[in-house]
Amino acid sequence: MAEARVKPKSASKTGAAGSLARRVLGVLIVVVGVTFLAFLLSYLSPTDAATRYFTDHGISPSPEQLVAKRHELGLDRPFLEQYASWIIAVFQGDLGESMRNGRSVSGSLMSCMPFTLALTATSLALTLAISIPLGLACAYRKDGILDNIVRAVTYLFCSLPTFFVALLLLYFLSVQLHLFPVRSTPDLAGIVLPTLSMGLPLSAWYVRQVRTVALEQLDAPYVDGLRSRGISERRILFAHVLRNSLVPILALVGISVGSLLGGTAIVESIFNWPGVGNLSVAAIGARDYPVVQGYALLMALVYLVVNWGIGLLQRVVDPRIGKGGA
Amino acid sequence: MRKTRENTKLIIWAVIAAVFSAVLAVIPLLVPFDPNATDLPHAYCAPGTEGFLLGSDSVGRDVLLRTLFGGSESVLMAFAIVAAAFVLGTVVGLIAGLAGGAVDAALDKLITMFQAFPAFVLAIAIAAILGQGIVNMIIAVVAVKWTEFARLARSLALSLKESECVKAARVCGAGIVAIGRKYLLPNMLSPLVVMAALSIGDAVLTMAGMSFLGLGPGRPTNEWGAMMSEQRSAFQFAPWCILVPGVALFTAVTIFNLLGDALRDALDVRSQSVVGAITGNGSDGDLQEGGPERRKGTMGNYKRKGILATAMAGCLAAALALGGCGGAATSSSAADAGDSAGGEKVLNAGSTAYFYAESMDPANSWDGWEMQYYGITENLLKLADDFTVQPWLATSCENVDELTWKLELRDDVTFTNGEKMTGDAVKACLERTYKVQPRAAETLAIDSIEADGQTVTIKTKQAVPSFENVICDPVFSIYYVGDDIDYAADTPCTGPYKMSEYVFEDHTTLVPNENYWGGTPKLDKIVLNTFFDTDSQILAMQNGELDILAMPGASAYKTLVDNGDFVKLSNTSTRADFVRFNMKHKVVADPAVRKAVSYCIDRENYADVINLGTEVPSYGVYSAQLPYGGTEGLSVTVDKFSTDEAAKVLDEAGIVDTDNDGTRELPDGTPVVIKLVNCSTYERFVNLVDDLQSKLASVGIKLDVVSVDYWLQDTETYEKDDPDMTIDSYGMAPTGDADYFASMCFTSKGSSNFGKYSNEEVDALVKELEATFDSEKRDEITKQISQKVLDDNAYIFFSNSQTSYIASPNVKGVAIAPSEYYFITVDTDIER
Repeated sequence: MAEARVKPKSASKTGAAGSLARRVLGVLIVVVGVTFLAFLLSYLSPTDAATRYFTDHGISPSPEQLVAKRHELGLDRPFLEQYASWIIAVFQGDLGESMRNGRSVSGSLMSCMPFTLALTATSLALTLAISIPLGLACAYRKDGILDNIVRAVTYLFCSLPTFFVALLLLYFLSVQLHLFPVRSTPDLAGIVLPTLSMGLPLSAWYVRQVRTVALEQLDAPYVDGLRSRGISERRILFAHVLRNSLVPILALVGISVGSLLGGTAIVESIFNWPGVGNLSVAAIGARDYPVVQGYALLMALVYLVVNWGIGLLQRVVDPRIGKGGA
Repeated sequence: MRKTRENTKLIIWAVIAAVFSAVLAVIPLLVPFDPNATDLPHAYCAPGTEGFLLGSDSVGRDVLLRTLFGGSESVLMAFAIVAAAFVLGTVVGLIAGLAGGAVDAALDKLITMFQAFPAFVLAIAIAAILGQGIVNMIIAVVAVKWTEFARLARSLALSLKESECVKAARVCGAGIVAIGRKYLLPNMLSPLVVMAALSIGDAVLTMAGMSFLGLGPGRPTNEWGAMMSEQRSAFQFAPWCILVPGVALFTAVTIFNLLGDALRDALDVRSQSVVGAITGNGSDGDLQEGGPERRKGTMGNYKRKGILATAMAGCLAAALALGGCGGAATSSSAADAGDSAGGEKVLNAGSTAYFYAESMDPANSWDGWEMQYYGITENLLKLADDFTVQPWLATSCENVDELTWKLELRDDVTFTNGEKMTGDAVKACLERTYKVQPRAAETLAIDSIEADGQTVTIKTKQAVPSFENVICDPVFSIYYVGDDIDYAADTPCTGPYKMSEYVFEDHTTLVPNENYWGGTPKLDKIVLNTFFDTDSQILAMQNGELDILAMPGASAYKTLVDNGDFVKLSNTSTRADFVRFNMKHKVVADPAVRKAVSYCIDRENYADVINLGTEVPSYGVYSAQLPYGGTEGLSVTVDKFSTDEAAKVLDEAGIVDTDNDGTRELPDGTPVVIKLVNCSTYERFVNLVDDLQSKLASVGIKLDVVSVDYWLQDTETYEKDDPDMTIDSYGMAPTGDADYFASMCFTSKGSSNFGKYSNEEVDALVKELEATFDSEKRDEITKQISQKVLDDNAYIFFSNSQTSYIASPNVKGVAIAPSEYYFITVDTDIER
């Protein structure tokens, strides 16, 4: 990583092009780092592709058979050589084949990805729809009745594991009320329960954060200024406080994308939602490392892209950002 | 005034949190009961039952006791995680912020890398490298959590560095270390501490998620998240198992969150709210310029109001539309399920383990077995429930000489593509299977296959007395071979149903084969659904989405069958659950130790309680279902569960506790500690191990359990993990044939004899069995082998499982085969 270091102090003066190059380089370093982690994962795993091949065929291999198979699969080459050939293939879009069904990993990830993205988007939308109004309301009447009720509910959700929330939703909404099918269909009806399972616990966390951010804004001198000029409370809250809270809320979205994408794994597997999380849980159970690797890489890339996009969005919302604070 | 009130609040919550933690920490030291002591006859006792104030769990442990003991584990583990993440994150963040420049850039990339990498994949990596266990799980969670602290610390350091006092100190010539220590660190601590307090609950939840994904701390553990995860299947019939640790978790989360809030108010760190501060997403902390000095409201706000309002409206509209459409669409789909009853006959089946075809090629992997189970493929011969062989695609099978078998094929069978099943077609099929599937040759070594009209002649390499049984193995499924066939996508076969839609790991849809030779299939459609989660398939049954579950676990019986809504369909199978000892290891090489272990396995309660009567206790070797199985004619070495007998055996062998540490020692002083590597995939094995550990402890044998989530099915994995003992489940005679398992596991050079059991007499007997044609003589030899194996105790066959389904009462005609080869048949029907 040493050779890739940059000198930020001078670089910050080279303008937009330099800054962009620096960012791209930064992302590239992170991507390479992530590929390294992902590769290390399968390299150090206790069962390798050769052993898997034999157990899949119901055979107990002899040591000689294993050596031969390893040679055939190139598993006896030095670590760096294996990594190099793997990463070259990765940059060509070839993530290898699943050890279980021989399917192209990139192919299966791509066909599952839209479902995960859809679930992430709906969960996030639900979360924002719940937490922004509630958070603002709680901040506006700090320590009021609503604030205290919301706080209690928040703590409840903060102590319920995701799988349990999913189980409760299934039990009450499907088995008791027959509102939704237990087995998700990959359509609008099917996405509701997974969305609730992800969105409700996340909203609990968001409400608290939005409340904090809004409280901070409500205490700011400009609010007093606005009040003294006779601007209505509603306008202050929705036009000013909310607007100024938007940058930190966007930042919050950035952080939670990681846990949201990761969280889809558990929820997708419970509801049989055909996304990459579901794929990865199955792959983990079967120690299907090419798929796990591909999944890790893809998630890392999505995380980086989303955060990059959020950075841009923040600049749109608040043009002062990125112009150099000091 | 306000400050004082907030300080009082802080003190109150700090005291509460301290007392809470202290109480949890000392409980294990003060309470003289063992929370892991199992009591199988008292499994799932309701709260208030005598001796169980808040009920008992799946193996009869006291839920309250476990929760109390688990408190120290959960809260201490959470503390450990947060403390480690706090220290690591603060140090890295401080260094990055302080050093700036290249160091900062590099560390920032490192933090982003760990943030971007999916948390549980990181956890698997760590579990894979270091093995499973409490410490390793803590490391895994810390590896994810530290980034949050590092981000916060870095952005704090960056913004504080620009503050007047630090600038002044720098002007006065203060060194970089001094600045960090004296000026930055003390000012950074408040927000970091607040974050730490708020992270405790989250740490416990992360651990719960890990346990759900099978990456938990290993057993036995009373960690709350793990308890909730491991007992979750019981939530309909024994909700206390989950609610008690759940309430404890809620209490802990609430206390620490309130403490965090109080800290925040008292320390006045609201301007550095957790959100505001961790979000140094930009590589240079460019968001933080607002840090301590607040942003000023600008008049420019008004201009962007429109964008904001639109965005908000968009979010809300999306959410509403989602809810609305969702509701509407769902009610119609629920109606569909009902409608289908009137129009066409559809059977919906579900399973977590049995609908796992990886392709539609019968020669690939175990797909031949799956497709036979699905009713897609058929074999030349079929096994009846008593393991006699019946005609199927072949009408007769004649043993011409020791090596030659002649099969006459039916004349009226066509494949689903319309081609006739001829001798040549069968020959081409078997030859392809031998070419692509190595298991075929391992199962039956053949010399040649010849076809003449509807006659197929198979020559074997050596005499195979059990040929007729062996040829029933689904690896020898008959399918159409031709140049135009994409086998993995769709292979023409001869069964009553054919595949119409197939999505790997999701579902397989079957429709009738119109040209079926053996009658008219009764159903219009069969959907075989693959589930990952046992709980969701149980709920799907309750919701009427499924009609039958294949091979469900014990909790499904408890939830679905006990209230009479569904029926259990079952039949004994040849599958045995058994213990395998590693005979190369000194402690278990001692026959007295093995015998003691055998006495400590509570076979009756394992079958009746842990498996709710879906298994049958075994004291012999082969399943009593088989003509040579059961205990009849054998002199049984261990005939009951008795810890007293176990202790007696050990005493007589001079294995006593010489140093009074609670664990016995072999006569040469080696402590009797047994390392059990257990695959946690099967609920029943996990429960058994919990019980066995407690029972063995009571006779002075220490059982160290290493939980893994793979089977030790090959020599290399076995030798890598190097256990003293493992628990396995094998179909011991799927074709009714005894030498299959005997040669694989009982002979010195057997391919699955991982524990290196070796007895020359057994080797000789197995050789004799392999060459014997007379069936009575074969049974006799098998009995002799069984007796030797029983005497040696290198394997303990403690239970026989069943082939079983849970079905709605109107499901008819499914095959409940001891071989586990058949499920859907031409007679399968659903009466509406």
